[in-house]
Amino acid sequence: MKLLSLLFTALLCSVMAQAQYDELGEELLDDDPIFEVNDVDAKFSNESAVVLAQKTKLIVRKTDETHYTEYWVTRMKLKLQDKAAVEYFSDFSISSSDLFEMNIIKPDGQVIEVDTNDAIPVNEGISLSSFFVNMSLNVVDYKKLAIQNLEIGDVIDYAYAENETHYSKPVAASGPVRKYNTWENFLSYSYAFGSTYPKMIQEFVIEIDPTLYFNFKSLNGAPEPTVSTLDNGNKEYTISLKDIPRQESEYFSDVDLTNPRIKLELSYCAPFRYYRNPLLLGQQGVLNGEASSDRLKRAMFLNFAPGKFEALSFLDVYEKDPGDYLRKAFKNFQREVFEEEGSDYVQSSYSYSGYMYEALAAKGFDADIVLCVSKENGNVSEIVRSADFIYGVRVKDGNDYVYSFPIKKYSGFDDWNYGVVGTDAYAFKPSKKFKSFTFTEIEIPEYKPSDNRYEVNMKVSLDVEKGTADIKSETKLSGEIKTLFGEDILITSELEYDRDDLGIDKLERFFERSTEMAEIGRLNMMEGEIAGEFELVKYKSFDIVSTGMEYDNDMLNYKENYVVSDIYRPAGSEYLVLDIGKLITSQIALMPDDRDRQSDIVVQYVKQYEYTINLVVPEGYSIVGYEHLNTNVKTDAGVFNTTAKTSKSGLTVVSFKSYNTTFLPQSSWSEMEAFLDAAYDFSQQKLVLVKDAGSDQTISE
Amino acid sequence: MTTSMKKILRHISLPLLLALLVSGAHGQYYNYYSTGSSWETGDSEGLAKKYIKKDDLKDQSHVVYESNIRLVYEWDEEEDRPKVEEEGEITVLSLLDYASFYDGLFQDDNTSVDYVYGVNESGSSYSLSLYKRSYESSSIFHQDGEYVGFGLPSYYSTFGEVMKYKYQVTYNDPKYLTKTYFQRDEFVREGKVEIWIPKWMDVEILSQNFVGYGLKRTVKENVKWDEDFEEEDRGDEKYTVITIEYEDLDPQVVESGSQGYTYYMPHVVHIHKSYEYDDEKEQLFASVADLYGWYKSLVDNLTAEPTDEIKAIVDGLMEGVTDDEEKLRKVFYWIQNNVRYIAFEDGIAGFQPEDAEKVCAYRYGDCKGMANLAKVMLTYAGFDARLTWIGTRHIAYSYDIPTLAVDNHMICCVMLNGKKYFIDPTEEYVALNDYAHRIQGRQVLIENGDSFILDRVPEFTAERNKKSKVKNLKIANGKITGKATEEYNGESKISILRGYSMVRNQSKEDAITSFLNDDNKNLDITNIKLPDFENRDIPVKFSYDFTLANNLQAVGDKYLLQIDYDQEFYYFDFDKDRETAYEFNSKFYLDNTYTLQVPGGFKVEHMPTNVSIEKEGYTFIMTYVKKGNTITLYKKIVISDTVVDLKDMKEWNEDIAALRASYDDYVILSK
Repeated sequence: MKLLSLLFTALLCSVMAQAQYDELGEELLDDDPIFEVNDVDAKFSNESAVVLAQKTKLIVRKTDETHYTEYWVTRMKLKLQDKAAVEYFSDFSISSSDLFEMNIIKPDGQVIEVDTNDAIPVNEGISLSSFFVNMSLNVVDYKKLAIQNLEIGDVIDYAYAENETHYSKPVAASGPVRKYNTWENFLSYSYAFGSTYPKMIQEFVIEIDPTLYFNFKSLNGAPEPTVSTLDNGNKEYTISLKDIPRQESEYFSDVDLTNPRIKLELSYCAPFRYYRNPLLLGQQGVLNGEASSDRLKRAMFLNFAPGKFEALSFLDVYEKDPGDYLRKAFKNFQREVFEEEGSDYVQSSYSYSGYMYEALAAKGFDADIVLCVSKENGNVSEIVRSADFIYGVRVKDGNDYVYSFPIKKYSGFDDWNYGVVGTDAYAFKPSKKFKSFTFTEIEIPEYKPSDNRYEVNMKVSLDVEKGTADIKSETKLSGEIKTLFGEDILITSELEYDRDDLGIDKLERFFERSTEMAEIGRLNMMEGEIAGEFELVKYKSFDIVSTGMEYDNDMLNYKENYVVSDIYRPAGSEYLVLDIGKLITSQIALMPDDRDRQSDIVVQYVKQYEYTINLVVPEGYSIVGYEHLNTNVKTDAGVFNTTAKTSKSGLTVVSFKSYNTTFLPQSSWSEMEAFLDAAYDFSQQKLVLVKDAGSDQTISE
Repeated sequence: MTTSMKKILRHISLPLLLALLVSGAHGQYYNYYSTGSSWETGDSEGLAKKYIKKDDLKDQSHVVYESNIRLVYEWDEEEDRPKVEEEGEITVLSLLDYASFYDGLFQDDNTSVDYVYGVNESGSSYSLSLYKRSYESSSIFHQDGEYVGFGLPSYYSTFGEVMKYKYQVTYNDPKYLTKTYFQRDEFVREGKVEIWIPKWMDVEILSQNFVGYGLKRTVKENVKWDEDFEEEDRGDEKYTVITIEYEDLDPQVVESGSQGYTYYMPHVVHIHKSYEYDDEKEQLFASVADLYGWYKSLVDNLTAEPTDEIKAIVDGLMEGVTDDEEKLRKVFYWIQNNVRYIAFEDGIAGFQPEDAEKVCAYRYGDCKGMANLAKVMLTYAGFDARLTWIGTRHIAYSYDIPTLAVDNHMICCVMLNGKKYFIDPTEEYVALNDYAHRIQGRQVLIENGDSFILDRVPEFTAERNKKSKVKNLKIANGKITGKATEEYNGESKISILRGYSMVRNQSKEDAITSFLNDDNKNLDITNIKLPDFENRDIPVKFSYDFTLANNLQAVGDKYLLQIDYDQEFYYFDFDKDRETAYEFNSKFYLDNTYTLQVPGGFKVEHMPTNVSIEKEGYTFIMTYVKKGNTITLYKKIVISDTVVDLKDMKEWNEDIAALRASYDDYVILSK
């Protein structure tokens, strides 16, 4: 009976939500002053298409005592100014559960209503096939709509609406109070202004039910919201921007860090739980733009209350030195996650830090939990969303602290999270009493470029008769670069993780054969990488020297041997021209359209690339000048330098490229251009070898 | 569940996992995941051990151990017409434990997947989860096809053991069953396709591309129904049974530049000529006349009368135009410019054109709708315009094979002063009297009342696509600078005009620079003179100045340089492991001239070797000429036969190597 009652409640709620949704739907293309414009500002006349006006409306209403429903309504009106735009907007995909309306306004002012009944359904589903049953479940369900009679000069005005209902876990209906969590941040959202088309005006409107908690922050120059009170008594917040330029696709950019951006979080909470919840709640129904220090402390106090995390046996490592202990515990944690959960598992920073702190404290080390936020979410002191919390731990080791952040699939101990390095943070120790719970303001150390390193040492031997070059190379990757490439390069079986639970013939055979197949796949991939750079004659070998997942080593190291045929060529009968620069592989080629920089410069993390090329000069040949291979460009953004020296067997060229900073204003683009151009230019450099007088070497053509 | 089991389950893809979850609840009732669904048979384990040592199979998880497919022509009492039931029994051999085996079938308005189920060792069946998805492709906006995917239970997959499944697909109307292929995604150890044709059905089964694949075809007449296959009393009904057997059949191969499947994959074509059932005879597609008859029945109902909108458009276009060709041109270009190509293949709509009224009003249509609009507009303008069926180069067949597989496109043909003008409005920016390579030389079926006309679209020589570049280079202050002109015709011209029109307004300038310098940062281009991008009747011409960096090597008192930095076809050799012929998108004709002004005080010490390769299908010519104080390179590359056969690839590679050697070499100037 109780089940039936709950089902009925859910059904009723769904019907009510749909009714309100339909009501919103009828307003989709209603009169709205910002959508009265039909003409494009002169400054946008050469654009492919221009958004005349755009409005996104988020409405969150309490549907009944137990549910909140969020409605998203987006309307966009834009003018198509070239064929590319007409083609792009000539068909739409519409979610079957969404409302969608569209008008086309012809240049003569005629308004044509688009009939969405012509849309073609596209389905994807699973079903059980047998002689007896025929059940199915749709997992993808949308419609495709081809827009009729669309031409250059048309204005399209369309809107779509979607909704989602949240169950607020009511205390009364669910049972004893203390057994249930009566708070939740049910919507964390952020939006960066800027798109592939310029916008003359864009508004973001938020209407919140007065029973909800609403945290909000404007970032990167986004305006603060204006507030008004609606007829229903709800507050409506509006963020409005005008003349938003087109978002260019540029190297080294990150719209979350550079574009005007808003972020918000909505939460509900039972009144008597207000002081016992770990969220950053302000005042019900009122925008909260900054969490108080007290509120943040209370959240951390509650989140890491002593006793929440039990001791984990695999973290019980014998090691007296705090830093060494933390490293070993990190590696054990990583192994455990791989073995227990498989390599796809992602460890949350909350549980990692909680368990790790517990283990450090049990050892008697002076440890802290570290609270920080990723760079794009602002400073930790301005945090407004609980969804932005990122945790780590630190332990005192001598006069310094050693930090540790959650594991990633193939990360090393010092490979943290490029979003948080160099940011302000709080350190704290869990406490039983709130009065004694304190924050210490700290700064998380920044990476050094050498922490994220790509290093190649190669020996290049030319076979002049065959016209080929044999290349033996050793590559070492560390830090974020290793984490990035490790996923493609490493095979789980190479990690020598625990396989004691096998012992079944079929499983043993499965892993052996899987490994063989993975090795073939890797060999093909690595061969493909070389073939993408050179005319590959033969990929002879690939060997892992170290995985970087060992207890005492974070560096991935592998060796390759291959033969290529397109890095040198004869010039007449006396000379060989070697594309020596090509050996540092493709470099960024900044083209004319890359010179006019629009956005600030964001490099994910500082890093270094170093190539050491040991060229064995073939017998009977000499080098004709190599001075041009010495370069040195150094700016605030980075470094590119090369040195060329003769050696016993020939010539050694070392190239070094370093990205030294993660952020520069747009005006400093030339600092990037200088060392990137230098790297590209070097990649085009050639070395001329001349046949020694009297040599009988023949050159293959 | 053990840790290892968890790891194994992670290999199962999400769709199948979802399917398993859904079906899991029913397992107890429907024998799902039956034990015994994997078993050893014969020397299956020994075979598996052998296969994983083979280069082309060592990274495979399964091969097909045995494939038995039977197509039976049946009488459909409900529809009162023949239908074809395809029943398959596929046995797969696992080369990897716990590996998922997936397969898929297609169904649409005319074809239905009736069942798919697994079979265990004892012969009893177990149900499989199906994954269904609307069939979508980038080139077709909508088609009614649906992909029906399924997987065998991976948990029971055991190295060296086999698993089996059965399926049935019904072709509700035989005319839509046009081809049966034999190759699969997997290697097939042993396979057999039987086609059972009752006496009342007249079908011709044509073998295509059997040579080299070891396929054996046998025909048995007057065969009684095999009750071991299906227990059913069919009285004295006798069948002709065509059997195609094969062993060790390699997986189907599609490589970059492969021709259409019908050119090289082994298959049979079904030509359904007629049937005579219960003394009633029905003609199907015994000849091209029958095929035309059916096509005509689909177009007879189209509205021939133009709407007011169409009339107004045509009247406007004809205003002040007296020349017939110019009138044709006006209509042809108007459709190209204003009607978007959107492909629909939905049941009969895959063959029946949309009314011109709709295509004009919507400003979009598929090839048939656009061809029909052209016909209606041109007829109203006073021309003799006709719908025309055509199979593009993608299809190997001609109308000698009367099936629906023979064509895949529709255009419009205009008869004017004894000449046929073929109008393909789907080809944006193609000029009148010019034809895209894909329809050149192709046979066409032109409507002609109750009869029809077979003809061919003219085929042009490679010179129709002539590209030429004239570059004058000089050395100044240690750099190479120069002036260039470029001219494009035919396919390359169309491609430039079409591409330029699709580039966003604000990016057009950068796009042109990027096109002219081929994204080569060393080539700085300035003072670009642009062509008229709206005029498709004249060649596209550019002129510009350039500076070339990182080319000139100063070695003592010598200069080493490459005056041809374009080096077309430098990397165009074929992999020695390639398995299919290569087809170029179109014929190719390049005629470039590079002239270097030798700086004062320098003399020419060395020029690269000349190349003169003239083969039946292609020509590579590089001729360096020293005259006065200039060096001129005349380069001509012509691809007149767009298909390079496998047997010719070694020779092609050798010729490319010779071309590359010339490209590689340097001009050496010395004081």
